[in-house]
Formats: sequence, C-alpha cells, structure tokens
Amino acid sequence: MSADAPLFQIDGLTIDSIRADRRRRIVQDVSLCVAPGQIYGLVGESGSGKSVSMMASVGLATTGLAVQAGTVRFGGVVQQAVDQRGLKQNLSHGISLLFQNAKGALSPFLATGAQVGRVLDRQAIPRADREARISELFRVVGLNHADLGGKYPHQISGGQAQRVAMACALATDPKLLIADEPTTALDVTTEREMLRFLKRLCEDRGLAIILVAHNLSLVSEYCSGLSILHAGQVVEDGDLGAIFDEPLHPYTQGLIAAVPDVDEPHELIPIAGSVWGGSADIDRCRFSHRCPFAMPRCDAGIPTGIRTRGRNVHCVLYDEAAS
Amino acid sequence: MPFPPLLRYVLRRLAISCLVLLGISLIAFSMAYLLPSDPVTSRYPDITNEQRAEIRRQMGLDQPLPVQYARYMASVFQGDFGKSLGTGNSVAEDIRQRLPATLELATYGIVFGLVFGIPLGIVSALRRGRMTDHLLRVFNLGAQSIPAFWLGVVLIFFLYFQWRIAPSPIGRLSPMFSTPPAVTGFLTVDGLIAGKFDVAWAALRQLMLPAFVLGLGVVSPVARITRSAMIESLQEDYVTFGQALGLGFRYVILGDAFRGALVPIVTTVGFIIGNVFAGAAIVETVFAWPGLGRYAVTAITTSDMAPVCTCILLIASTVAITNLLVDLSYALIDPRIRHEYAR
Repeated sequence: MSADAPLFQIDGLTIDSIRADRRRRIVQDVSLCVAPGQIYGLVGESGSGKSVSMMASVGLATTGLAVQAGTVRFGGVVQQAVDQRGLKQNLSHGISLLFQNAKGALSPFLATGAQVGRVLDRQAIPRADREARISELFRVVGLNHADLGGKYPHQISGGQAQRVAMACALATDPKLLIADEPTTALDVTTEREMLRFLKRLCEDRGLAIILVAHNLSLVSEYCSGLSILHAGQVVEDGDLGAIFDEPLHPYTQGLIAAVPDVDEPHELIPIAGSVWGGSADIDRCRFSHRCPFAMPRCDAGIPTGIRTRGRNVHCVLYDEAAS
Repeated sequence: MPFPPLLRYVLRRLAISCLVLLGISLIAFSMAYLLPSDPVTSRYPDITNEQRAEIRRQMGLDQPLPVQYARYMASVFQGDFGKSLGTGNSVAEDIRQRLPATLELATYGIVFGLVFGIPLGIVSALRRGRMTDHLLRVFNLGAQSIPAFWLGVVLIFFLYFQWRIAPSPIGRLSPMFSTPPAVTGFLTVDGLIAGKFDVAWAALRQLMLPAFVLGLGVVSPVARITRSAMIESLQEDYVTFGQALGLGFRYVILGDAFRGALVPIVTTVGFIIGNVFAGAAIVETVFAWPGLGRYAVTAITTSDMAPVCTCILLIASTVAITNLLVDLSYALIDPRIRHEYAR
C-alpha cells in the first residue's frame, strides 16, 4: 500500500482533563499518521500526553478526561474522537494494545493459557482448533504453552508476562498494535529482545506498530516515522531519518543534543526548564518558556502544516509565510 | 509432611478458634457469676435463708468460681449446656427447637442483602459521580439510618393492619397450617420437600417482612464496600487491558474487576453475619419470631444464665467459623493468595 493510504490517522485530537472543576488542556491538536506495516514512534517526556492521546484514540479515555475534538481514521472509516464508545469498536477489530506493566495487565485470576483462550473465544474460533491456536500463539511469542499455559501471571517473569500479553493482543489478529512503553518495566537485554521481536512481527505479519516511548534513542533504532510531543502539542513529526539528521524544532534539537553517542562523544546538554502546566485556553506554544529562540509571536499560537525538509515542524521559526 | 499445606493451615486456624472460644466461655461464665441477681432468689422468691442455702448447695453455687467453671465446661463437653429455668427444658433442647427459625430468617435476610447490595454497589461504581450513583448512595444512607425495630413496626402497621397485604406477624407459620416434617429445619424448604406448596408459600409470606427488615441492614454496608472495592479494582491495569482486548462486560467487569473486589466484600460480609445474628434478636421480638434471639433476650431479662452463656458461645462459634470460612474463601477467589497459603 502506498503512503497516501494510511492505516491509522489521528487528526486534531484535543483532550481536556477535568479535576475538581479545574479544566486543563492536556492534549492540543495532536495529529499523526501511520502507514500499514510501519513502526511509528511517539516520543515525549512523562506527562506530555502520549499515553492519553493513544488511549483516547481507541476509546479508552479514563474518567476525568473530556475529549473535545478530533477524528480517528482506521481502515478507511473516520470516527469522531468524542464518540469514545464508537472508537472502542476498533479494539479487537484490528487494533490491539500493549502496556508497560504487563504483569498487572494480565488478569491475576486466570492461568495464562486461559487468558489467551478467552480472547480467542471472541473471534468465534471452532472449539476443535482452540487449543491448537493457543499453542500456536504461545509459539509465535516465543513461549511454550505446555510449560507456561497453566501458570498464573504472578508465577512468571515480567518478560514472559509481556509475551503472554502480546499473545493475547495477537489473538485478536490486529493490523495495528499500540505499544505503550512496552519495555520500560523490563531489563535492558529483555528490552532489546522484545523490540527486535516486535520488529519481526511487523515484517512477518505486515503489522503496524505505534511505539510510545520516552527514550528517543531506543525509538530511533526501530521506527521509520516519528512524532515528538511536548506538553500535549506535537512539535515535530515525519520521517525519522530526516528529523535525526537535521532536527528543526528547538525542542527536538535539545532532545537530540541530550542523547549520548558512543562513537562520537559530545557534551550532553540538558533542556532548561520543565514541562508546561498551563490552563486550558492558552493556545500559545508551550515550549516558548524554555526556548532559546522565543519571540513575541510564540504567544500567538503555533503554526500548523509547515512542511519542510521531509517533516512537519510546528514552530514559528519556520513559518516563512509570516516572516 | 503429614498434611498438605492448606489442610495444615485450616487445622492451625481451627486450633486457634478453639482457644478463642475457650476464652469467650470463661468471660461469659464469669459474667453470669458476677451478675448481682441470684438465680435461686429469682426462681423461689418466698423461701427462708436456710432453704436458699440448701438449694445453692444442691446446685453447686456455693463452690468457688474455678470449680463451678470446670464443672460447667465438663458438662458442656458432654453436650449438656444446663437447664433453662424459664422453659424448664434443657438448653440444648431449647436451642434445637429455635435454631432453625433463626437460621432460616438470617439466611433469607443475608441473601436479600447480597442480592440487592452487590448489584447496587457495582452499578454505583460504574456510574461513579453521576446521578445514578448519587441516588443510590442517598438510598443507602437512608436504609442504614432506619432502625430495624421502627421499620418493623411501621411495616406491620401499614402492610398488615392497614392494607392487609402482609400476613399477621405471628411467627413462622400461621396456625392454620401444620408444620411439615423437619428435614432441613427451613419451613420453606421442608414444605417443598413434603410437596405442600401452600405451606411453603405461607412460610415464605411470613418470612418476607422480617427478612426484609433484617436484610435492609445488610444492603447498605454490602453496597458501600462493593462500590469502593469496585472503584479501586476498575482502575487496575488488567481491567484496561481486558477492554483493550475487546473482552466484554461479562469478562472484564464481572469476571476480573468484580473478582478483584471480592476479597474486601467477603471480609465485610463475614463481619456482617455476626451482626445479623445479633440484629435478629430485635427483628424476632418485633415479629414474634420463635428464634434464638428472642430466647436470648428473654433469658437475659430473667437472669436465666445457662441459656445466656450458651447463646454467647453459639454466636462466638458462628463468628469464629465464619471468619475461618472467609479466610479460606480468599484462597478460592485469588490464586495469588492460594499460592501464598500453600507455602
């Protein structure tokens, strides 16, 4: 499929958080576009709204969150993000999720084999094939059903739990897997193993993956596309190579300057300040208070749709029409 | 090891329960001993001091407390709980007659409380902070604030005296019916077993009001704990992941989230069961229910100490056994606890 037929596309997603009658805009006008079979990275600091956007895009926005605007397009169907109930229909019909805390994500009350089995039961699998399908899914994720199928989540390791969760996710036969920091809870070697495995899945099954992470260097090894989120706003998105070779947004530049490089050691420069915690109605660039290039125009809002050098950059510095 | 770990755990818990019961028997017996009223005087008010001393000697009341307690426990272990001065029967016989009435009433009350309390709590948790939740919580508060004796009397007044919907509050079965042969002791069940459906129906009608009053006291605590435990378990990652997998209400909410909430719910129900037996005394008095509660109240007001001690022991045993069952049910509910016990 060509790049102009996206598998999954979020457009203008805007979410408010309502806590004790205080409204805060935590996700503002977030868009992203994933092609079939692509591994797409969504990177941002903690609290930048990456998980929230992903959850809301599949209809799992938690209570206290109010989706204000935006559309989600999956498999050619466009749905309003406000209709969370409608978006939920995509789950188990082409979209699956993985979470950071795999041990907690598995039901503590069922043996792992039974958990995969009950997902299969939703797919109307013939009774006779059921056991074979469970074993097959365990084999795909690199586990032995005979060994682990009868064990409970608290009896297996974190890496094994993430694989079982993956078997559950694959049981729905997804086209898109949203992996929300799937390796953060794992140790470094298991992490690599898991990401290589995801990449292989992607190649073997034509599965698209959205990899949500806070570790930019990790994402850069596996993804072909990338969105960088800061304080609920997309600052730069597009082709990974282009962004890495020549970061344009001051935030991206700061992030990449902070990535250590073994081959070409350089001084790591931290980004000054911390994530914006402003109120709902402020449209201004939320990075401007940390930005070395800040100018009065930054307070007027961020320009969208500036497409230059293989990516979109959401910064007035590149807004040639206005300058 | 001679026993599997779970059995070892049960045996240890049973041994501890026995010690607790022994302690309670000592307290109950001392209370009876220390009470200022004299059973001989209250039974035979018009006797001379010599006669009284003679009766006290015959009854063993002149012995020191430890001797009396030892004698009492010795007979308790032989199944002899003494004689009730009020009824003239042995306490064991009195209790055998009255226990089924209380058990039937309490069972219906608890079942009513659970059948309404648990779904109310689940709905409240799912609709948290919305109108339904607020209404249900106001209802709960109301249900808990109404005293059982008042509600009982009001219900009898309207439903029986005024509107004649309920049968007259004269105990378990109207005298128009003959009691079915005892199998379970539950008239509603025994009636069905004997094939006398009219008797079972009449017994059920007699039960409705008292069981409702008793059960209403169960509804609110059960709904409250179900609500808070469900709110907590609904935030568990496994609930979100279950939804992400497209698993339906039956799996995610009733299967996982409710099961996750079940440990605190069962714990609370365990406590409540003790309360229900205590609360039964009031309801039985209001509805002239021939059960243990009324027996105990009568015994207390007439200083009839043998039944009082026995009732205390009986309630304490019920609580001890309930607690053990509650603890064991954790292992059934949660495999993590099961494997913990098995260690």
